[in-house]
Amino acid sequence: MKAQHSGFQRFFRYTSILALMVFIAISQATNLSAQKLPPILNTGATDPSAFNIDNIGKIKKDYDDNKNGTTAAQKEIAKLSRNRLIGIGREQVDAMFDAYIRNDRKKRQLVQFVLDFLEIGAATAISLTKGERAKTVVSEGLGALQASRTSLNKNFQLLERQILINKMAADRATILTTILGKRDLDVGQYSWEDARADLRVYRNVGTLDGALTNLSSEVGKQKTDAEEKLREVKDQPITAAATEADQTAAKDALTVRNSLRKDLADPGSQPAALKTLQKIVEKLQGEDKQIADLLKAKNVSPTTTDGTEILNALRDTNTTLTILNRRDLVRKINQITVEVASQQ
Amino acid sequence: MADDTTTLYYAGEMASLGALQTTCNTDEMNLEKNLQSLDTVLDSGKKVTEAVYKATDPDTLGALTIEKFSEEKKDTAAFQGKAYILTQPVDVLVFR
Repeated sequence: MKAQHSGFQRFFRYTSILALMVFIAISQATNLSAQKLPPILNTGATDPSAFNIDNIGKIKKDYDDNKNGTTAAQKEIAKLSRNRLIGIGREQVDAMFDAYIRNDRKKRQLVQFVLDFLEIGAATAISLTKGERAKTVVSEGLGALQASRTSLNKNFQLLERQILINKMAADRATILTTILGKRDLDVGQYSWEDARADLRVYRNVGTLDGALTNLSSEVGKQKTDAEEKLREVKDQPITAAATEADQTAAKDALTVRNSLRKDLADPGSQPAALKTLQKIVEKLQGEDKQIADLLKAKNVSPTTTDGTEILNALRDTNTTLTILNRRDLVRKINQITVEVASQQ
Repeated sequence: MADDTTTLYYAGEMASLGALQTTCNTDEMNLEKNLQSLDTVLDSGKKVTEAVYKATDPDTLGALTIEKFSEEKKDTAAFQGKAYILTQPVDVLVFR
């Protein structure tokens, strides 16, 4: 009996040592397989700007100094500075995301390995142990371990983690495409503040909470979508989202148009209001051919004597250009409206 | 009688409810029409948000607030609608 017990202890000692060696080998293999960063991506060595707050401050200063500039050169500098800030923001968010994914994977592998090891050890112990009482005790222990493992996997999303990571990657790609698509816009159309808000969304969709929220919403909605068939339309033009700058320009121009509409109804101020509207049409016609064509189609020119007709034509032109996703031209109309009115 | 409504279609990749709110307020002021409804539709297979505008009250243009749907606030909303945010359908309440 004693000899049997001693053999049993030896078996477990060797098994433990063997498992430990396997574990160390796996850990080392993981480390060995990790690749070194190329020098250009080695933050802090060759191009430290993405993580150097002084350099970021300089680029931000370039942006602030030129964002309200009137020359083409100033606008270009502001745009380039904004794009550099976007690039830096993107790199920082990507670095944070990569580090999170790497650490998370290592932790999950370690936890699952330890749990596998304990489960296999307990299962082996049941078959080797003699005596019903001892078998029952080890068996109960194994049951508790398996239940704990199920709870751990369920509550910490250990097994679904890859699904969540895939969701994060898909959402990040969607947001990044949106951000990259706006890099050609002027800072008046897409300011650094707008870009920073987009980068914040880009960061948030790369978090576990963000992925869980989006995925839960998606899964919940799949059932609803399946139940109610979506209405279909054909080949409609898609209008892009407006920016804060678009909203400000629209608000200022609406205030001007409302004021002019009011002035047109007052015989005392009607001539000045009409003159302002004619001046707006004149400036718009010289500014852009598409705007000029749309105004012409509405029979409006700098000599039109019906101010209300001009106001309606401006509104209809805005509508057409919005439908055609020419927010840049709508913004131009709004800016010129405000500019001309302020000069009169 | 001329159709006095304007329908716009926004891309399903709208970044957030805040971005949708900015967009709808901007378009209300540019079109000088009030937002009447928001709905999710397919435009040749692509997910888009359909926004219908109609001139009803010129004094309230550009003052919309769009929030995620909640039972508690639905009775005080101007209307209830649906929109795609990051290509996912979201039930929304629109307040004026």
